[in-house]
Amino acid sequence: MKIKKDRVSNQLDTRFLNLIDKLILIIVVLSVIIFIFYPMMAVFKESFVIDGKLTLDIYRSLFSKNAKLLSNSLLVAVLTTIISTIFSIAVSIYVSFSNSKYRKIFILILMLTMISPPFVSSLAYISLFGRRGFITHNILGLTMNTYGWKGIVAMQSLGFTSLNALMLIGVIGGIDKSLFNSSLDLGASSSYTIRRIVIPLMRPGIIVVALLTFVRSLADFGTPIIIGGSFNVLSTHAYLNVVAYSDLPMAAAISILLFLPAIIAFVLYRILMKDLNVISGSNLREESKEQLLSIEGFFPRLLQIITFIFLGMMILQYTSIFMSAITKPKFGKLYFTLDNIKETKNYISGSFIRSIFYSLITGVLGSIIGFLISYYLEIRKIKGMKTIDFISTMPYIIPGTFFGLGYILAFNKYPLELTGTALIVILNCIYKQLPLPTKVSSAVISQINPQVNEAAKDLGAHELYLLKDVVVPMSKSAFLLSFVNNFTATMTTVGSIIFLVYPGRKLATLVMFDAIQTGKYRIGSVIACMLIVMTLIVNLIFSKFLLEEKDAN
Amino acid sequence: MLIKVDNLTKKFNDLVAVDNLSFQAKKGEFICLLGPSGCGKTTALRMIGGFLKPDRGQIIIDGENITNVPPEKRPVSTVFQSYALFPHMTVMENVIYGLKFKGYSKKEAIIEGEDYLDIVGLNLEKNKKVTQLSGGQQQRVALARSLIINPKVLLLDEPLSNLDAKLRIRMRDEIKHIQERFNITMIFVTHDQEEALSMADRVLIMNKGKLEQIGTPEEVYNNPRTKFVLDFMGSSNVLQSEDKNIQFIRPEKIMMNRNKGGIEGIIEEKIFLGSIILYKIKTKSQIYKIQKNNDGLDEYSVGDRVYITLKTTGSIAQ
Repeated sequence: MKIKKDRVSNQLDTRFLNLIDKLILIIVVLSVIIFIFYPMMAVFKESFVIDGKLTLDIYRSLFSKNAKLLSNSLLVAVLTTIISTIFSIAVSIYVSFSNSKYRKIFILILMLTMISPPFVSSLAYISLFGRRGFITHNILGLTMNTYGWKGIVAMQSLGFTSLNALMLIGVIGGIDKSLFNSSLDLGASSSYTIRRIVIPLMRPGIIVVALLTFVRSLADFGTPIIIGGSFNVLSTHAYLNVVAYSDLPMAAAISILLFLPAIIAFVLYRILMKDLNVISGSNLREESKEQLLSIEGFFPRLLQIITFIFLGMMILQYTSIFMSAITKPKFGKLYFTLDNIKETKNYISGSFIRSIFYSLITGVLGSIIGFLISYYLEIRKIKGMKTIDFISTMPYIIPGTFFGLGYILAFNKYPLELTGTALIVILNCIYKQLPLPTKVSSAVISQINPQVNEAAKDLGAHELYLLKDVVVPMSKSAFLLSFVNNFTATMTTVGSIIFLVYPGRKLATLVMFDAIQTGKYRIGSVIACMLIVMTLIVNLIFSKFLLEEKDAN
Repeated sequence: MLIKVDNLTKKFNDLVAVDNLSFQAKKGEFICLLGPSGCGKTTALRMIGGFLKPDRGQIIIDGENITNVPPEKRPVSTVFQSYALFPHMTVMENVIYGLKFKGYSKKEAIIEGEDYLDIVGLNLEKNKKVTQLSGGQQQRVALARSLIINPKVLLLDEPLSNLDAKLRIRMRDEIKHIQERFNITMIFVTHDQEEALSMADRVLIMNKGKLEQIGTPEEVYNNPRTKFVLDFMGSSNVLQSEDKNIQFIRPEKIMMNRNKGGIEGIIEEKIFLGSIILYKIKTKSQIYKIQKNNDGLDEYSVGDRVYITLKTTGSIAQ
């Protein structure tokens, strides 16, 4: 039998498909350049160019007037980095080697921070240690000023430790378990194995965690604004320059200053993450039921104590938020009441629904764009895609306010006059959160056996069919994970959108921020609880889907 | 007896991974735990190494019950399948890692380390990172690292499975030599019957968590006690199989000639395997697998009429 010759229409189909393929690629590449790279450049331009001339005037005045702010920022960042890194090492090791029942509970508590809006720790700090704080005022009978750098360092350390510990738990999980067994087998104690084998192998992860903490602490403006009192740092100054003084060039210059350590950290991060893959690539076949390291001896006990202190603070924090949402002081005593919740209705008016709506859109679109980037990078290996990937992962580390400021500067005039619209907020969320879906998709896509793709091509599938029939169906878990991450991140975001949201169209986190700033801590607590419950529900539903997806494979 | 394993049992949920395993080994004996994947051999080894707690049974080494002794205090050492070398340490640091816990000073440890690296032929690489070594070299480092702490029993978990065929055969000899030189008791886990037959003093064959047979390589090959052992150790022709009595003959033990004698048959299939040639011969009663050396003397073709003689048959009475 003769094989049918290609029909003319087949060739047309191919041409058409090629065209669509090119179009998608161009749209993806252009959107990354326009919505990530261009706004960043706009911030640079704003800080260096006055009236069309290149100048360093802004930086001169920044350094002459604000040297104190710089040293304040560094003080907080350095201390937070040290404390949070030590805490997260302790927590991650203790959690990794505790028995599986407790491990799950510990990880759940850590995850709670991930799904909480920012400022919950500051909010808890105020309700526990503030002027009318439960501990300082009600229990100890003091009315003192606890606002200042100590509170900032403590609360930032607490907040960042969860994130860091989760990352380090992942790093420890990636280490070949037989290395621990081997060390015990050769006669080393658990304690010695932790010090000599576990921690050295965690080193790249520890450096990454320290870098991220340093950069995030520098960029965090929420904590210092809420509990810093008269103690100011660069990030709060940048924020105030935008919202209070409308001095955008100065805000841009400060943002650049905060951006520099971030970009250095980012490059190191990318290099070190490759190292981490080398370690974790070795052997994952080991059974999980085997005996791991036991917590015995002085050093592991120390880790255990640190972990319990940390967990105690976490529990205290969430209890206080919850309690402050459902209680009210009357004649110096606390009463349970639903008044706060009723009152909150007047504040949120639609902002909660809007938050959910924006989060859904960001979840869907962000997952798709992230997926397409990793598809063109990992499978098609398109030239120059590495650069696009690099740009698209930058928002992971650049300060949120930097990114938000970039959007004001970039999109305030024709042809891209977007300021004041809902679109600019959604775009900002999508591209600010793009690193995660891109990373998740890349991880999943690179697991696909390249021979499967070759087989599909061999059988005559066009690249687009390959995408539709092979790559997309095999990447379901990436979509689910990206969606839920983006949803959570958008529900809890503040930094990057704070300048972009039109006053009448606030999101729940911003309403919460306003409530806290105007001293309505109980309203803030109610909104915090609502956000936590909402993201928790979505996360639980999706983790169920994800588990089923895993079982199916 | 140096090591005594009694009624060792381990369950994972409903699966009985190791079922009432008992065996003993003398000092200096080389025991191979052989079986298909999932038969429980690695689980058994992990229990002896101390990485898994048995549900039942005990392990006694040199008269001491070590069933509940943690791995770091057991007088045994394991060479892991993945070698489990510490990637952040040099070859020397890896090798002398265990000496610290035996009270060696760093200086003494390095002198000792040099000796052992000499034995495995890696003294020149002592300052390299282990990640720079080839698979075979990593294997030797793992071996030296375990041997140096002078364990009473050395456990090896499919240590050759990550090496290529040539190297695997060379490492077999090396491991065997080291074993003889140190006169150390070794328990070697493998799924490769050739490996087991060529190295072991005694082979212990496991299936579905149970011990099927233990004996010298000759015993388990020539006189298998169960159908499983018969099938697992090479191929065979089953001549007669009544309820509990199986009569068999190994393919290489059948004589074949063109002229007279024995059973008449026709060559149906011929498979060339290099040093040997396999024939399938159809007779009136059944099809026989026959194996001949490729000695260039008498070669047959498909369709040839031949006569076969069954001399040394064996039988299993279950």
